[in-house]
Amino acid sequence: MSDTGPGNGWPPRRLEELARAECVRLLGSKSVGRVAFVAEGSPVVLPVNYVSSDGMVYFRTSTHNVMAAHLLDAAAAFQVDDVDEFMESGWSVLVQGWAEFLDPEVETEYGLERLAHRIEPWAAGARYLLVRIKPERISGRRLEPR
Amino acid sequence: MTSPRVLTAEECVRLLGREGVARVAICTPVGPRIFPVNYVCEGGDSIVFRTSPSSTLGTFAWGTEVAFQVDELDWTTSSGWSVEAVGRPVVVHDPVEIAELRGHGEPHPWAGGSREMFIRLRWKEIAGRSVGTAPLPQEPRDLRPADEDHSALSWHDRRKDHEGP
Repeated sequence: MSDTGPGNGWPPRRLEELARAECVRLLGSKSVGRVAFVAEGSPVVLPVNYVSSDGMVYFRTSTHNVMAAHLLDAAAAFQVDDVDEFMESGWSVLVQGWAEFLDPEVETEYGLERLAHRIEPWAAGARYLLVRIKPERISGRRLEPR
Repeated sequence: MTSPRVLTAEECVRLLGREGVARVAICTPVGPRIFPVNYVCEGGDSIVFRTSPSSTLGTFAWGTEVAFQVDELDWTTSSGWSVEAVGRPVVVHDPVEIAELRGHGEPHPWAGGSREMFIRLRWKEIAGRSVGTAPLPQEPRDLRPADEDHSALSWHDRRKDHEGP
């Protein structure tokens, strides 16, 4: 093990902060991310499939789960990444902002109709709640071989 | 489409034990945050990751509750699983314990640098779910690209010999 770089013989890595525009582009390139919020004082992190447009994040959930109970107008974080465990490299983008519930009947207002199939939840059951995370800050990092 | 299945605690621990990359969710004074980390699983009841004492994780990921989450999700089949472990991590100070962790060669932060803070989460709760019809993985993870010849060298040798990206 090396303290100056990854072990297992890989060359050192370069950690690069990503510009906001690149973060927004990367957010739009993935379909599964993780949302974190606080429930009764403890953090919770759950995977969701989502769509993103202009840094906004949209996903659907059930009206009767832990997200429905704790996400309304709450501080939330949303994270997507693409990591290559073989190459020990990749990127991660973090959205910090606020969650709000939208009326799914009017999702055309948000320009989501074209993307709606991508936020069909994978799990069965009624998931009518449309959640949006509005970013206050978007940041990202990429780890690459030098 | 299938209903999500709640995983047993044994399944959760086994899936967490596949190691690799996880996400740590923490509470900070300005809201929740999520960071990816690579980690090792120890003794079937704790995980260890490394960070820098001056990082956000180094500041907020111990002495208070965190959520530690791993998953494998396959967009093409809408299948996958997710496991979340919750607890109050501690900083590992004991030099013997740190030496043992180093002896295992892991977890080495990919970013390198001075990530000298070892944080251990002995979880108090672990829970998971699976969706879709794909079976849960049974084998240890194999990170090798599928088109490589797996026969000649050990994984460690192969990685050492690899010329890089």
